[in-house]
Amino acid sequence: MRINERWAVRILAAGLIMLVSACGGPPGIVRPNEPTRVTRIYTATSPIEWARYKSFNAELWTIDGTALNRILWLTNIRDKYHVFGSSRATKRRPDGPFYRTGMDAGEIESVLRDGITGMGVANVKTTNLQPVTIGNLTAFRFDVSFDVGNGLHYLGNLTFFERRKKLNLIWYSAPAEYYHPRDSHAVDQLLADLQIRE
Amino acid sequence: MSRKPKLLAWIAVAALLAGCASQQPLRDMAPGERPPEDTDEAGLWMALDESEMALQRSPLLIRDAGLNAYVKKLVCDLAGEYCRDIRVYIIRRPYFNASMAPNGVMQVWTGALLRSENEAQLGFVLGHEIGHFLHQHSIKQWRRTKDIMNALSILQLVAASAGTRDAYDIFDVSQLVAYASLYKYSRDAERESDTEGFERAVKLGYRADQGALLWQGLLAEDNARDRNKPSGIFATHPATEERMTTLREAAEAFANAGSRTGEEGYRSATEPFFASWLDDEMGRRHYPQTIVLLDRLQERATGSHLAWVDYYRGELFRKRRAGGDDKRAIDAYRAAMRISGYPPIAHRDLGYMYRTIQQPALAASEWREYLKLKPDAADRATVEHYLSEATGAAHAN
Amino acid sequence: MNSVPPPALRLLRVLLLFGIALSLAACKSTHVRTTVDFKDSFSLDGRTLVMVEPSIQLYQMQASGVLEPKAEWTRLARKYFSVAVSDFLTQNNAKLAPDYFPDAKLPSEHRIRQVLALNYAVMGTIYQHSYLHVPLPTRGTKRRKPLSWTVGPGVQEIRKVTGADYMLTLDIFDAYTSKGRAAMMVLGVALQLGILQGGSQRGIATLVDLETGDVVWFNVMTDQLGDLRDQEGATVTAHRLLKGLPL
Repeated sequence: MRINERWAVRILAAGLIMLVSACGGPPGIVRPNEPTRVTRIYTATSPIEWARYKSFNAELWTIDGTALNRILWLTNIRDKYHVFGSSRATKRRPDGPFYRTGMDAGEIESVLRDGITGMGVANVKTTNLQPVTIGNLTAFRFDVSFDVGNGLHYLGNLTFFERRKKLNLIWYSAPAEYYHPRDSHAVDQLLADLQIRE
Repeated sequence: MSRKPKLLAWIAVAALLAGCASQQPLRDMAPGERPPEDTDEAGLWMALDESEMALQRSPLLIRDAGLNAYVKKLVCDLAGEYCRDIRVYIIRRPYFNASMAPNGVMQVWTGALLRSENEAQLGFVLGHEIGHFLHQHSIKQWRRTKDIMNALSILQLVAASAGTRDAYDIFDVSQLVAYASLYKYSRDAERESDTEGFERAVKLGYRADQGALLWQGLLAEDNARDRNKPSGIFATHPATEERMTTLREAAEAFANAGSRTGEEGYRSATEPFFASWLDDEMGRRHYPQTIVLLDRLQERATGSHLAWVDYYRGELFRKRRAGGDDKRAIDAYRAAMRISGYPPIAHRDLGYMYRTIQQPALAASEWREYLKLKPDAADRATVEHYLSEATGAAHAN
Repeated sequence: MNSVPPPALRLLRVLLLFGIALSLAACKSTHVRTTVDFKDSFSLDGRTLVMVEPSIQLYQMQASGVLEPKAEWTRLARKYFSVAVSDFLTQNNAKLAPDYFPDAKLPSEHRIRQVLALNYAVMGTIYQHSYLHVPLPTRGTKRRKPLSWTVGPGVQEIRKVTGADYMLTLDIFDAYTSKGRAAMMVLGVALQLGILQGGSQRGIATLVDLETGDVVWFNVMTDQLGDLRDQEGATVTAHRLLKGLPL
């Protein structure tokens, strides 16, 4: 094996071990019209089939591959933590896309927008921030679009809410060309039928 | 290694390396001229042309015809007969930067357009870059660069790739560092270009002190930086005291040369974009620098520009949440509202500020005003949600 | 297991969720491999092919492990490879439309640019799931997955411009070692510019139906590419990459 592959394997092994030790499992399937538990707080019913990859407090769904369609479910993001990452606001480093308990929806939208930009995509645009209900809980949803390095334009939406002082989000995105128009209606239905387990 | 093309490639490389060792003569650069085909510079240009193609497809390229025409015209006025050799690309990146490649590709980042307050200041920056181009600092520098071919490909990648706005994207930072290393000129080269930029701007009748004024602002911003994050003043333009002193002295020598700043023209050209550039700047979440920038812009901004600056100062304090920031935020939003043509979202976000400090009645009043001024607001339903929450709370109190 | 994961895990889990598939490439052995899956059998008899904007990028792997892109090598490789592919196809009686390179001035929002960008995303996806066999339960649990990816009917824009029936697209990632090296930093994949990762020499080719957008054939090649910086090497590479094309 080449040296670079050896290193990649080492990094990968470390990652896999951590993933497995954090209650990750083998990828599964979400069957159409079958209610399913998602990250311990949701019951979701999807009209179409998805593949699902589980991790601790997170799931990643896709139909054809994550570059073509994906739903990212992130649960229980704690006060002062980076919305997508592991870092935390500290005295030394107080500024960044950190979530704070009690933030209003507009500010969370702004934090999420900057967090998404921080993933290395361009022209992140968020619009149409709206309250929505999930069961009897008030959540918020906005439309989000961005471009990746080679120019491929993505559309989607992001739903978020605070529960027990932690942030939860559901982010759907797919290329504007072919894939988003094909599946967005099914995703809308999934979100409309979503339930929170109390 | 008997294949001809491979051999030629090696000859080109050898020529380049030889150029490093000896003082290879520079081309006598006439306007409109391309380097002769068998020179190392021609090889450079070929690869540069490719990276230019990547730039043309970049999702970060700003294509607005009006803005491009304005910047191009300024470049042409400054470059004179060399105008035809320069192609301007405006890139959406919230850092102060402008650069020129040896084949005439000029990049101007939106962070530079935000930080320049008028045509004279931007003119100085662009004149400076033209100076690098005309004195062929770029060729000399690139010949010095250890592996020039790598450098050109880095340009390609940087051009085509996505940009980011904060320090948490490790990929972008490493790339930008690579890009910056391509344009690190010697101090002599910088001094030469400062003089060139200065002279060209002054020749067009611009006020002599504007270059130093801009540089002073950039220096202050750079000094305020959070060391954990990339500075808003990009690494290609080290803001040093020395450069500022040189510029100030030069300004004094030319004190009576010209008096125009081109402020009107600059404002109207950048008007449609000013708020979005401030927004991108805020997205860096580099508050110590942004506040220095906003304070500087506030000194001389007027009209709607001033309203936006005040609004974003409010936003900064509201998001920063340091001690006393709530009062600062409220003052800043209110200052914006005293200016005719202020953005209605100032009411919305002031409302959110009041909500955070548990003043529901005041919050509600701001939100009502927002919805009155902007009945078609895209986030109307969200604001109404908070409004009913606030009125409920106000009644409970 | 209800304990809170250590901070490093949170970032890792998101990155892993996005990128884990790509890392698995390291486990693959490095021999030439062809995977060909056909949904329906078809023949290219009498049909026209067009090679579209092949993506070829050559790197030099530095001692530090950094992959530095090499413009001059890349430029040569593209030239020689194009000739090699055309020769191969003509020798095998394929009807060939002139290579299609979209106008450099075409903005990234233009439909053709979007379709080609999507095509690269699909190529990367096929590489991950069909070649690396990263599990994708929606495609069944067999290791060899049916080739069932599409770029969508937007490809008809390319058909209009070229008059061809099928589009051949290639992505070649080729790194030449300089001295010893440590870890590999992969800029291209992270930026979604290059979609391949793992071994240091990889090529992927796909054939797309320009009516439906369906990917009807693909081939992946790893390791021991001919030296793309000369015509001989490029010819060897072209033959390897296009092996199995139903001509």
